[in-house]
Parts: sequence; C-alpha cells; structure tokens
Amino acid sequence: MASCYLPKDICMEILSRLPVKSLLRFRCVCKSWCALTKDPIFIDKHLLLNRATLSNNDFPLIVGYCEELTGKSVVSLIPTETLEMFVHPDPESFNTKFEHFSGPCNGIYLLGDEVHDYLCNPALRQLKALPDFPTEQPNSKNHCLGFGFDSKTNDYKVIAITEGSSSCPEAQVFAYTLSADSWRKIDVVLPFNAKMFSYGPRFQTRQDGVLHWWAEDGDDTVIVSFDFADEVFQKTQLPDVGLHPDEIEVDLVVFNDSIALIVYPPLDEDDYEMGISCDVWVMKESGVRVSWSKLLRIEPSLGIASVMGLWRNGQILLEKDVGDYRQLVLYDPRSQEFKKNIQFHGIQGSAYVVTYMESLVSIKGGNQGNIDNSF
Amino acid sequence: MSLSPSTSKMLSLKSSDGKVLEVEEHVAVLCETIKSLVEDGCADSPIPLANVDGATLGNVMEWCKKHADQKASADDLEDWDAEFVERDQGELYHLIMAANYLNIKGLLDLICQKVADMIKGKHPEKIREIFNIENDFTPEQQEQIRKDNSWAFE
Repeated sequence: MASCYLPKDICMEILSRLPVKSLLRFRCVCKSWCALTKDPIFIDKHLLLNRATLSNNDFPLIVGYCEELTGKSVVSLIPTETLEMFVHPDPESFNTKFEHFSGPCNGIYLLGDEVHDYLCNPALRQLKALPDFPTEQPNSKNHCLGFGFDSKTNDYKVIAITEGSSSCPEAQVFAYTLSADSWRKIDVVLPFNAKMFSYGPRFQTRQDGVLHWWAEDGDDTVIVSFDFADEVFQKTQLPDVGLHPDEIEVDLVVFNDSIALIVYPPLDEDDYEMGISCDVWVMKESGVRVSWSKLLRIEPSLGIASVMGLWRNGQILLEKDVGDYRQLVLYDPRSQEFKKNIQFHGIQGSAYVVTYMESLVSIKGGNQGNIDNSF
Repeated sequence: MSLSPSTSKMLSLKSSDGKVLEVEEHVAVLCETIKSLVEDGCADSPIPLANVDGATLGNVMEWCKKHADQKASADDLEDWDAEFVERDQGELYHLIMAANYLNIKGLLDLICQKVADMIKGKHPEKIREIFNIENDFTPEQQEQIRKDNSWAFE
C-alpha cells in the first residue's frame, strides 16, 4: 500500500476490525489514528463489528474462582473453539477476592470484593471503584446491584437496591450513572419485598437494556426486571414447577436471548453425595408467565455441583466436583455426553463464568489517560 | 434483478485508462453505483469509471461474477474469497479504493478484514511504512503514549 493515501472512512473500516490491544499500540502511529481510537463514533462501530463477528454464544469465556490453597482470586480466559483454559494476561492483575462478577455490557463488567464495587473494562485494563451511595445508614454492602446501558441517554448505569434495616425499614433504590460518576436516589415502587432480596445475583441478563434477576416476594419467588432507560421494575411469576416456593432454590442463566430458570428441588443427604438435580425452564417471551417452558432435567446421577450457564447448540456448562479438584464440563443433553472438561482447584461455590468481550468504551473520565496504572 | 443469467443484458464499463469491459448486467449491478445508473436508465453508453484502472476493474468484476453466481454455496464462496485476497499490498489498496467508489459492501468488508489481519501484530513503525504515514508526534508525546499503553507493546 506504499505511497498511497488512505481516506478517513476507509481507515475507520480497517481499524474497526482490529483487536483492542493493536489499537492501543497504533495510538502512537500518528495523531489522527490516536484521535480515531477515542472517537465515540469509531468506538461504537468497533463494538458493533465485534458483536456481529462473534455471535452471542461464540465469545470466549472468563472463568473466575477462588483458589483453594491461597484464597487468591484467579481469572482465566477460555477461547470458545478449544475451551482450553489459560490465564488471560489482562485480568491476571486481579488479586482481590471477588464476591460477584457480572457482565459484559459493551465490554464492561460489574464486580465487587468485600469492600467495594467496581466497573471494569479488562480489554483496556481499567478498573474503577464506585463511590459510596448517599444512604443515611452505614454502607453495609447489604445491597443488590445490576448494571446496564441506557440507550436513551447513551449512558451506563448501575442500579442498587439497599436492604431495609431497623433504622430505615424501607428499601431504597439508587442509580449510578457513569457520565456523572455519582449515585442518586430514585423513587420507584418496588414490586416485591426487597427485604428478601438476594444479594449479588450470579446471573443477570441485560438484553435490550433490561436487567433480570430473581427475588423473593413474601412467600413467592419471582423474576424481577429493570428497564434502564425508563427506570421501572416489572415482576414476572415463575412457572408452576409443582413444588412449594419454600422448597426450591432457583438460579437464572442466559439462553440465547431468553432467560432460563434453573430450579433445584430439595435434596436428601444421600442425593447430595451423588450430585444435584435440577430442571431448566426457558421464558420465551420476556415478562410473559405463560411463555415458560421446561427445556430439560438434569439427573443427580450426573454428579453435577451446579449449573454455570447455557451454551450454544443447547449444550450446558456445568460445574462438577471430582474430589481433589473441580471441573467445568460441557454437557450435551441430547446425546447425554460430556464433551469437554476444564479442571480447576477452586473453593466450592466460588466459580463464575461470564462471556469475554472487548471494547474501547472507557470507564475513566476524560483526562485520565493513564490506563496502565488503573489496577 | 429478475433477469436470469442466460438472458442478461451486457453493460460496457470503461476504466480510467480507457479499457472497455463487457460485463453481464446481473454481475455489474453488485456495484451499487452501477445499479443506480441502471435504475435511472443511464447505463446505455459505456459507463465511464474515472477512478478505477483496467486491471483493478477486471479483478472487481471477477469477484462480482463469483458472488452473482447463485449456485455457489456459502462455504465455496468463503474459500474462494480467501484465495481472492491473496494479493500484494498495491493490488489490495486499489481494490479497497475501487470497492469504496463502486459501493460494493461485501468486497469492501472482505478486503478491509484482510488488511486488518495483515497489520494486527505489527509495530507502529511498520504501520507508518505500509500506509506511508508521517509521524507527527514529538518524541516526548510518543514516549507518553507508549508509557500510557505500555502493556499493549508487550
């Protein structure tokens, strides 16, 4: 391409197909390339292309867990094609114990340790602690968080619901916006009893700017969704699983664009030795109770510890307990075969799996350019 | 276009260096620019394409012909495309400019992806050489950017 002038729009076409690491390196090619990688239009284009080339279930996985011997948090990246585990050089710097880790929303993750909650863009190596929210009570971390994108204001939001306490019996709802880097209290009516709200849901979905998680509403367990643009809550009843809500445990995972519910029936001591059993239900239409349908059942004989997520082609990612270590296994319910397994030495219940996505969306304010010291 | 290939009308395309290429209409209309001319009834005389030389036009039409072939399977096209982009930088540059001018999204996407894959792991110095870009940073600015993004240079 020697001695050839490249028009700006073609330059954008080429560069928007590059990984984030190359783009950061190419910032020192010239001023216009440097400016392009920070241009919101380019960042959006890069994001869209990234999403289009990798279909929903084709992203590499981030697998994190708490190491059994050291108690250290380990974050690894697993490519979709090989499902071989290797430690990703970028989030390797994570050295705190994360209590929750969710995302991504345009390449950004929400995570938290015992003290703080953070937003993180691992591709840019940015980690940003969220400020304390303006509550009268001490910041006890008795809150539930969710993260998403508000397409109306083009802003990233975190929603926090604080659990009611003796001094302040009513639950409070706060919204954090990335542009303002601060929390504000929002007056919304919670459609459920927030006192029973689950802390730090392992799985949330954020399709179309709507976040879903589960909550306990009095005697009932319900799916609660929050629309980030309109800031309203909605409640959907669970399917009739033939058991009293008190007797079951539930979890949420994403299945293509639908929300899947994992229902764990009560276990006997003997069953527990073998493994859990559970039913997987899918809500085909968001917010519509009659659209729930049962997808499959996992039998205790499979020796499964928990369901980590649903995978492409109807396969399921499961956690298996094999004495000295744990395994992530890919299970195909049709052929009833285990396809892959990834070994790790983690504390029980500490593992999480989220998809890995790169983006140039910065979570740092305008002139905080020094991303190298972000961790 | 409802015309079947066997009855397709021929269009004359004239390159910047005066070469005239006869191309079936259902092939040429993969270029949005030519399609608009056809739809407006302005495609009777040889269509002058002032920004595309004869050799590049030949390559572009070769791609259009393959992609207008309805019998080609997706896998077949993918393999064919992979071979099509095995060219030197000069040819790729001319193809990008032509695909942009003739407004052929599929070809533009293909070549841009090829160029992106080519430059992905390269050093900034090499990039400047490939695209003939002048380094307009002072050594201090350059050093600061390297420092700010040091892990990306590992």
